[in-house]
Amino acid sequence: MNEGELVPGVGPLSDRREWDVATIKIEVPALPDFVAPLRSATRSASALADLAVDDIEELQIAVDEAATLLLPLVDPRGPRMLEARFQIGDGEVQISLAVYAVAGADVDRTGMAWIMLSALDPSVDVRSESDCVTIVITRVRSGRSQ
Amino acid sequence: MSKVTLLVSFTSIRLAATVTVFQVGSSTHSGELVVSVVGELDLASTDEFLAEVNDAVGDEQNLKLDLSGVTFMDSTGLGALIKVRNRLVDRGGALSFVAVSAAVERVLTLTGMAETFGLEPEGQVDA
Repeated sequence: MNEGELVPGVGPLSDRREWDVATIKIEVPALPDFVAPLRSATRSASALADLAVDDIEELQIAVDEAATLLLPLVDPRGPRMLEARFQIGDGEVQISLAVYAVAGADVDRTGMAWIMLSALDPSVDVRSESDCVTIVITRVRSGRSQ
Repeated sequence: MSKVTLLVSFTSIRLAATVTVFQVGSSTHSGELVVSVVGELDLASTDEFLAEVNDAVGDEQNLKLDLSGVTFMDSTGLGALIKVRNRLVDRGGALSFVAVSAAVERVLTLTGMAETFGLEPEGQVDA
């Protein structure tokens, strides 16, 4: 099987697909039970980007940790939803997770969740804009420069 | 080439019962308590894990955990393992692993906690 082939003889996904960049948006209730569907979506999006298995597994953990950091910030008077936006390219995925947060809320950068997230993605970005807090995670296929 | 956008909303879909599969079982081997965990050890299941382990441990001092069936673990799962370990150590006991899955090993290694739990390379554990 050649490198990048999911099925022997079929060829790499990047040679067959008819798109350059795809965006998937998923909105789930901001509750722990709904983090698992985000992990599943992360696996699918990463596979579409032709990421390596190790990249996919680490990205799933990163998304889980980002959600863990965001859920405590959710404003109970707001929509109480967690939005995930997956931008899928060839060998690269960028995932933005966002919640409507209570005023002044910020991500806890002292706990184990942040330690794991920042270890998995040293360039992780946290954005606070008005009533919304967003965490942006990027993963480029192993062996490819960012 | 084209750009593709897909918008999916899970707002009205009840997925929780179908996506989280989690089971804890306990048994005694040669006088030692062994608790086996199967499924995802995450934010949604950690409280249940701690409750089940506390029930199984009771007044025991030592516990062996079989985590070979854990398919996913995050920082909250790790936090739960640390809580269990510290509770046993406080009463003069110990927590050890029978086996761990690659998912568990990945998190323990990533956080530098592998040695604390007596984990050796490739999921092997100290005897």
